[in-house]
Amino acid sequence: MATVTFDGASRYYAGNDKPAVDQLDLEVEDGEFLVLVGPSGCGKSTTLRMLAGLEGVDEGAIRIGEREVTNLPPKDRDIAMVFQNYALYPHMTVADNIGFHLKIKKMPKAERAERIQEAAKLLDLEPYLERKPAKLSGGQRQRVAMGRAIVRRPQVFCMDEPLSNLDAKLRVQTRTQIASLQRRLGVTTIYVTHDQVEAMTMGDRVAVLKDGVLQQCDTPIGLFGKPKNLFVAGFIGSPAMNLIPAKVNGEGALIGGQTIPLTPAQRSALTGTNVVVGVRPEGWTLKSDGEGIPAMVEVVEELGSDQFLYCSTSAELASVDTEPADEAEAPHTVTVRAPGMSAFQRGEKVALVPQPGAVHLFDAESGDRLPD
Amino acid sequence: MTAPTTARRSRNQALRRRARRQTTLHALPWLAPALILIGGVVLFPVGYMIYTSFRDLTRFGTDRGWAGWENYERVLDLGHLPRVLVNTGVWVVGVVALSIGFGLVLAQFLNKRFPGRKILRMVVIVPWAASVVMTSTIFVYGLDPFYGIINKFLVDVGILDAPFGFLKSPLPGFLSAMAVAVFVSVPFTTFVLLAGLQTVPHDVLEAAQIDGANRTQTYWRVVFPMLRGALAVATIINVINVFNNLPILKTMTGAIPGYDADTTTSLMFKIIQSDRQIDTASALSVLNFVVVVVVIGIYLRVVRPMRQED
Amino acid sequence: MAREKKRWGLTIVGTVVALVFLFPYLIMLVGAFKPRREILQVPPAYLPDNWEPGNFLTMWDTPETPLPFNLLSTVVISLGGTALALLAALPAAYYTARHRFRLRLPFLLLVLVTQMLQPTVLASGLFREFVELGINDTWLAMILVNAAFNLSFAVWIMHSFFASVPNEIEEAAWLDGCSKGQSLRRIMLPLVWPGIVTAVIFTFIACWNEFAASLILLPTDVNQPLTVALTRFIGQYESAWQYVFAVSIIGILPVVALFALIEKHLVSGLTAGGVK
Repeated sequence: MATVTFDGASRYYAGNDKPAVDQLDLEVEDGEFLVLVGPSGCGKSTTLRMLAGLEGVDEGAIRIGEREVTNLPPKDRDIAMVFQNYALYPHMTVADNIGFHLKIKKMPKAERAERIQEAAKLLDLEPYLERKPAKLSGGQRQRVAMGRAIVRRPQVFCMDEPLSNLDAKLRVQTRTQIASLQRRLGVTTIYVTHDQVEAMTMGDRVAVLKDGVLQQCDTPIGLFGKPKNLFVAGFIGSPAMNLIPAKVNGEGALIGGQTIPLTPAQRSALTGTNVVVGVRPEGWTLKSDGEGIPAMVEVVEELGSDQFLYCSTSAELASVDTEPADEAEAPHTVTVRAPGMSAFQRGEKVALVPQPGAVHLFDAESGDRLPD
Repeated sequence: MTAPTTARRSRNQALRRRARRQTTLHALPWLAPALILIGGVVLFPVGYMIYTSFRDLTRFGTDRGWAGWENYERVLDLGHLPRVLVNTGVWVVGVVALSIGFGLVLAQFLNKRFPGRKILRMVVIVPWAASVVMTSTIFVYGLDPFYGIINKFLVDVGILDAPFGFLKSPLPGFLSAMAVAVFVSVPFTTFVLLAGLQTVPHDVLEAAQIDGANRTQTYWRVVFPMLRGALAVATIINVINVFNNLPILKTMTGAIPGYDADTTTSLMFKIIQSDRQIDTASALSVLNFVVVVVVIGIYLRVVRPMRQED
Repeated sequence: MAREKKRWGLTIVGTVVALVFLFPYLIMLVGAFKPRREILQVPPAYLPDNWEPGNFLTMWDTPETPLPFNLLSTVVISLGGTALALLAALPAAYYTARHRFRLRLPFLLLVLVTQMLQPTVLASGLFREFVELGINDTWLAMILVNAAFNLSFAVWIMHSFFASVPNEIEEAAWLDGCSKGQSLRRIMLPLVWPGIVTAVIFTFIACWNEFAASLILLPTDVNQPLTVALTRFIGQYESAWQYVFAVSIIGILPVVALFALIEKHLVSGLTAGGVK
C-alpha cells in the first residue's frame, strides 16, 4: 500500500497545442479511493495512464510511496489496472487470465492456484475458471478483469471506466461491489469515470479535471457544497445547478427581480460588476404565489421519489446580456426539485425563492467562487 | 484557466517538436529492414533500369558510355512494334474483361448456398495456387495437333472435325494463350468479387424485395452498384498482373517464330534472352514501367486502398 | 422439398464448374503416369494402357536438367525468401499497427506500390544490379527478389491482424509484469498467429511459383528452380511430357493444399483493405 503523488506532471501530444495534462499536482492518501472525473478529453484517462506508465511524463514527476516512478516501465510499477474494455487475454482461460501476473513473476504453481481460487471466490468466478473470455457475459468479464487486478495485491489499483460497458442495472450493482471491495482490501485506488454519479457515490475524494487542468479535488460533500468554480458547479450534480448571470449593484446581485446580498468579502473579491448566481434544483423554495421570481411550469419530470420541474420565468431572469451562443441554455428556464408525487401541473404559475444558504456566487469574469 | 504566456507557449512547442521527432526516430529501427529491402531490390533497380536505358551496352554487358535516346529510338524503330502494341492492348483488355465477366457469374454462383459449395470454392482456387508455367505447359501438351488430349477431346465431342494446330501459328496461338490467361485469372477475380458480394447486407436485399424489385432488377439496381469497389480492385490488379504476365506467352507461343504473338512484356524478355541487348530491353522496360505507374496511379485514386488507415 | 431439389440442381452445375477448373490438372495427373511411348502416341489415348509410376523415379536423372538440384533450388529460394520477407515485414507490420507517426501513411503507401510492381517489369534493372554486385546467378539474388516483391502482402495481412488486437491487451500485459519482448511473445504472437501463418504460406507459394525473374537471373541449370527447369523437358522436336507432368505434380499439389488453408484471408491481404 502506498500514497500516490503527482508533482507538476504534464503530458503533451504531438499535434496538439495544449497539453493533455497540465502541471498536475495531486496527492492520494494510502488506501484512499480517488475518482478522476471530467468530460471526455479532459485528461483524466491520460493522468491514469501516466501513473500506470502507459503514457510518458513530459514534465514533473510521479511518485508511489517514496519511490519515484516517472521513468519506470509499467511492469516495474506494481500497479494493477482494470480497463474499460477489460482487455482480457482472449487465448487464455479465466484462471490463466487472473494468474498471468503471478506466472510472469514465477510464483510456484500451488501457491498461484491458491491465490487464483481466492480471488475467484471473492468475485463468484469459481464456476468459470476454465472458460475462455469469449464464452463469458459482460458482467463476468468485468469481474475477471477485477480478479486479475486483486489477485496481485498491488500497491495501486488503476481503473479506467470499468463500468461503462455494463448495462444500467448491473452498473449500479457493481458500483457498490467495487467500492466495498476496495475498502476491504485497502488498496490505494485511482478510478476514472465521466459519470459524476459514479464519482460522487464511490470516491473518498473526487478530482475534477477540465482541459488537462485540475479544477478541484475534494470529498463528494465538499464538491457538491462548495464548488470552487463555475465548471465544477455545473458539472457536479444532476440535474445541473441553475447558473444565472447577474449584475451587482449597491444592494447585491439581481436575478428576476430578487436581490441576492453580497458580503463585503465577496464584494472585494469581485473583479468586475457581474456575478453568476448558482442555485441547485433543490435550493429553491416553491410557492404557489406571493413574493419570488414568477415562473410557469413547462415540463414535469416525475421520478417517484422526486419531481423535477422545468420552469420558464416570465420576467427576464439574467440581469446582464447573455451571448447568443448560449441561447440553448439561456437562463430563462430554471430547474426545481419538488417532493415526489407533488401536484404540480404543466402550465401552473409558481413563485421561486432561493433558499438562504443554498446560493453559490461566482465571479463572472474568472469563474471562481466568491468567498462565503 | 490561466492564459498561456509566450514563454509557456514556446516551451510547449519545443516539447511537441521533441515528441514528434522521437516517434519518427523510434519508428526507424522497426521499418528499416523493410525499407532496405524495398530500397535495394525495388527502387534501386528502377533507377538502374532507367540509367541503363540511356547507356550503350555490349552483348556481354560492357558499358560503352552514354547513348542518349538511341535505345528508345531502336525500340520505336522495331518493325513489329505496332503489332506488338496492338497485341498488348487486345491481351490486357480482352483477358481482363473476360475474367471479370466470368468472375461475376462465378462469384454470384458461389454466393448461393448449396451442398458442396465449400468443395467448389477449394477447386476454384487450384488454378490460382498452381504455378502458371506448369498450368500453361499442360495446355501446350493438350493442344498439340498430334498427341494432344484436348485436341482429341474436341474432335471426339464433335467441336472440331480434325485436330488443329492451335499453337503452331500466331493468331490461334495468341488466342489460346488469352484463354489460358483468363482461366488462371478468374479465381482471383471471383474471390475479390465474392468478398464484395458478401459486404452487401442482407436487409438491403430484403428491402429491395419489399419495394417490389424482381431478381434481375435487384441485381442490377442494388447489388451491382454496391460491387463497384470490388470491381475496381479486381480490374486494376488484374490489369497489372495480365500486363506483366510472361509465363503463359513464353510457354505457349514462345516457340512461334517472329513477334506476331508477343506483348511488350514477352518482347522485352526476347530482347534480353535471345538478343542479349540489355540496353534496348531497358528502354522497353522503362516504357512498360510507365504504363504500370499510370495504372498504379489510377488504382490509388479510384480505389483508395488503406482508406481505413486515416 | 422443392427448395431442396433446387439446391441439388446447383450442386450439379457446381460439379460441371469444378470439372472445368480441374480438367487441365486431370490431364497432368494422368500424363504423369504414361510411359514415354504412350504420351507421344498418335492418336493419343485418354488413359494409359500401362500405368508407369516409374516416371517419378527416373525423372531425377535425365540429360535435360539436374532435377534434384532444381528441387533444392526451389526449396532453398522459397524458404529463404519467406524467412527474409517475414523478418522484414513483421516489425514493420507491428509498428505501423501500433503507432501513429508522420511517415506511417507514406510508408504503407510505398509498401502498397511494391505489391503492384512486379519483378517482370524490373527484370533488366535487377539483372544489371546483381551482375554489378556479383551475386547474379545465385540463390541469394532470387531470395532477395522474392522477399522484396512479396513483402507487401506480408506487411498488409499482419498489419491488419496486429491492428485488430486492442492496444489495451498489450498494455494489460505490461502492467502484469511483462517486458515488451515477453508481451510480444506470450500475448501478441498467439493472437496474430493466423496472420503470420497466412503471410508465410502466401509468400512461400509466391516464391515457389516464381518464374520470370528466375528465368533472367539464374542462367545456370543447377541453380534454376523447378518452374524454369520444367521447360527444359520441352524440346523443339521431342518432349518428355511425362516428366513435365510428374514434376508439375510435385510443384502443384503441396501448394494447393497450403493455399486452401489461407483462402479466407487472401482477398483482404491482396487488396490492402480495398474490398471489405
